[in-house]
Amino acid sequence: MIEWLASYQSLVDLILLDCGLALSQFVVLRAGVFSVATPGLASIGAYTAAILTLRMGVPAAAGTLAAMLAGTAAALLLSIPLSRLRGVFQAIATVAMVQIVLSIALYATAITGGANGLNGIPKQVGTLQLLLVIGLIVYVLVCLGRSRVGYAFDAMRQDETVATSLGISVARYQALAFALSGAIAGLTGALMAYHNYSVVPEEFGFGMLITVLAYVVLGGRHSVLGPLVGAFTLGILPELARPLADNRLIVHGALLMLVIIYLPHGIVDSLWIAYRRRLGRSAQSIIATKDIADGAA
Amino acid sequence: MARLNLDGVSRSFGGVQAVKDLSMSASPGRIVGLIGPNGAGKTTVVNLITGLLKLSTGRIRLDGTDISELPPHAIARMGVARTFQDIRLLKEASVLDNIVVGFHTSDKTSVLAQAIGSPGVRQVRRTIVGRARALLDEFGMAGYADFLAGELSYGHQRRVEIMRALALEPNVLLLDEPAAGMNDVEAAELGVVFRRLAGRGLALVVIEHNMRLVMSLCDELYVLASGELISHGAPAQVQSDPRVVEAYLGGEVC
Repeated sequence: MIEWLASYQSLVDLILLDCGLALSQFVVLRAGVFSVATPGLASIGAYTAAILTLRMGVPAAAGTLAAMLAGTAAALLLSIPLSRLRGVFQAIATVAMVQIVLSIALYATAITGGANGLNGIPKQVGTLQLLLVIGLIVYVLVCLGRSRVGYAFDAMRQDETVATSLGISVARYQALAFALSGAIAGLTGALMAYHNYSVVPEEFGFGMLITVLAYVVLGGRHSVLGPLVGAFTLGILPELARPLADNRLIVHGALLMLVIIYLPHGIVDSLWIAYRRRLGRSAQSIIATKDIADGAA
Repeated sequence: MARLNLDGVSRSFGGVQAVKDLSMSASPGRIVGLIGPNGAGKTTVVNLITGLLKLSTGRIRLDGTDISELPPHAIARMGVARTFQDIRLLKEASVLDNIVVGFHTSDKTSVLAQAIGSPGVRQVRRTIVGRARALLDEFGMAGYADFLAGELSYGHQRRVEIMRALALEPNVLLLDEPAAGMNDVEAAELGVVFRRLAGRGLALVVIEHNMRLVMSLCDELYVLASGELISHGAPAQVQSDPRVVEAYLGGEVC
């Protein structure tokens, strides 16, 4: 029984960490920035935290803060050249960034430990800490989403020309989206370092990029709930049945294709839009009845 | 004094001169019509004023300030609002949210205050939603607040676009074919709204093909053909200008 619970807890931890990565990816996509830099930024965060703690004995809280700042700084730096690019070109440039970070982690052996990574990081993050931090990120994103920043992001994603015509500085809000994404990725990277005992370069590679992107595509990119639903769904799937776990990549791929074809806005946003449509229709019938009543009167 | 002033404005795309040496002005309380056959360069003029396109030559001034080199979002912030010929609403968002987004510049709260969800921010958002609902009321669309913008009829979508532009609290409102897709009754209703807006001191520039509306509504007309100003004056004056008749109907066949 205890053994079962313990294995269950590690799954929860894993999903919570993936939620952090998914939220980092979500922020840029909501703002209409097609960046997939999250793994690279998380890598920077994880290495920052691990190096500070292992080599300098910095406590986990300070290491986490430093990782968050490092992620933010790297993202802001990245946003300068990327503000000149759009769509698929942004995606390609950020894939390159992820590869560059990976290469540095692999070859700067003296600092990063090379292919072996950094090991023996004291475990200081458990389920409770993960829940707290992810909860905090969700709270901030919900608050931002309901205020000017969220509306500006939504406008930019749907129509950049309209956004500028309303006085929204696209360059500034893109930089803000990058900074937020970098802060969340850096933070999550630190949590991974303090949770997993070790940091290895390949963890933050192309595989993570696809997985994290899949979370947001599956869940949706408008509501904060989207990436969470995406991470939970794809995280739990392999646990439900052995064949699903064995053919994990095939299942992911098939699921993604189905969602892209039938629910292009992702699970959460598609439900939201369907709900709005129904609300609209019932409102329409109310207005129609009222018009008839007014006409009769 | 004119609020918006175009002085010798030109724009060419490669070898094609879309707008040639155009000078025009719009003043508070007046409705200026910009008409001309298809391809005359009317929308290009709007894109030049709003900064979406850069001028090849000439100057554009707003209340005496040169705005020719400013980026589009800065020009919007100075109070130049517009609607789009090909209606551009945020179709994934509700009607109310489409108008709320227009209040971007009225929300002066800091990003940090927004991130922690401070009560001050919530207060500002409530005020903005209230103002958006007031606009919906004014345009007789209060019942449509929760609709998805993409689900509305053409005429209603145009009105939402106008409300969104008004949310910017503009000094100058550029309307690119606001009555397209409306019948004469709806167009006339819109005309009443425009007159009321002008009465509040807005300078309106209207691009429109509905001549009945243009002739009855505008105080002043500019007629463009192939990017050139061919006539300018009061509607009646322009209507009888042989050059205008020629531009619309073609020259005499010999």
